[in-house]
Amino acid sequence: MTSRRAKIEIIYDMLRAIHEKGGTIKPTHLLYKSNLSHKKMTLYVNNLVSNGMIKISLIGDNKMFAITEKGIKYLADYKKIKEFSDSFGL
Amino acid sequence: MVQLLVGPEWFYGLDTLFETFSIIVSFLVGVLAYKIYKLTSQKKYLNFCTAFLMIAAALSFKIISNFVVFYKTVEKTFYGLFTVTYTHSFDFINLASLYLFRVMFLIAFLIILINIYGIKDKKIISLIVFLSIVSIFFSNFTYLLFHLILALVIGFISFHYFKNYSSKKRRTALLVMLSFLAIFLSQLMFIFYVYQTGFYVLAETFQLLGFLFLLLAYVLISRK
Repeated sequence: MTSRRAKIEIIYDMLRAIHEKGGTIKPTHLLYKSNLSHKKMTLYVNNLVSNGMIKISLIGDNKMFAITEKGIKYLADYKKIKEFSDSFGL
Repeated sequence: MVQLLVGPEWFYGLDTLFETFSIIVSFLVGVLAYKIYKLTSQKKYLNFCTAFLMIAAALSFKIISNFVVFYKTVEKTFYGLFTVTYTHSFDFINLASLYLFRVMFLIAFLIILINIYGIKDKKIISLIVFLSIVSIFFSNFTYLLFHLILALVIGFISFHYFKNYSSKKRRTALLVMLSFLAIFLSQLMFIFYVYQTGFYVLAETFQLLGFLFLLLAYVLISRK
């Protein structure tokens, strides 16, 4: 049995999925890659948008999620965040 | 007259050096927690930042009160096993710094306790903080009660970190556990100080050891 992912891990998985797709991703792809329910993913997307880690852009008629500089910084510092969280039991 | 916390004369000034080291380490951990808060926007990291910056501030106030002891100690009285040091000119600023140290140090560790145990109920949090603060202000045994409550709080934190290390098995988690364990032992030593002044040196040394472990954890985390 695998353990539940922590919030910081879910955010990391979502941002990594966008980054690996070249910086932008379709909502359906993100839903598949993040392994979350639609409701949960919407909550996380709203959270990421309000924190400035991703932005919603329109390419033609398609809605896309794009990673921002802050999101890329989160990916770079993820190991530090994870180590801090695990060490201090957060 | 106010009972003061001093160790053997040869230790005067060394404790201030120890405290300065602890202030720097607390500040570094607080800043790291703030950087992580800025990245994640999760309140628990901000709480941790607040707690460690409060520890740094509290220890600064302790240094101020230590200076007062260094310059104004005028009388030592021996009551059997007890050695009590008094000063007759303990002005408002010095008394305030001692109480600010106690209140801030206690609240800082309470923030860590509340955060890691995930206590969210504001009524419970208010009750814990209120009872802790009131008991150190309105007691005839302020000094003893302060270190006893602190030992209890840090004891619970250490137990949490023992469980955390058991499940994570990370080197940094071990260092954090050892850090809080050493600070917990230092509080016990401060309690025994009333029986023998030598315990003050042990208490300060354990506290230094605690912050040394914390610094090692900080360095390992920062290098990631």
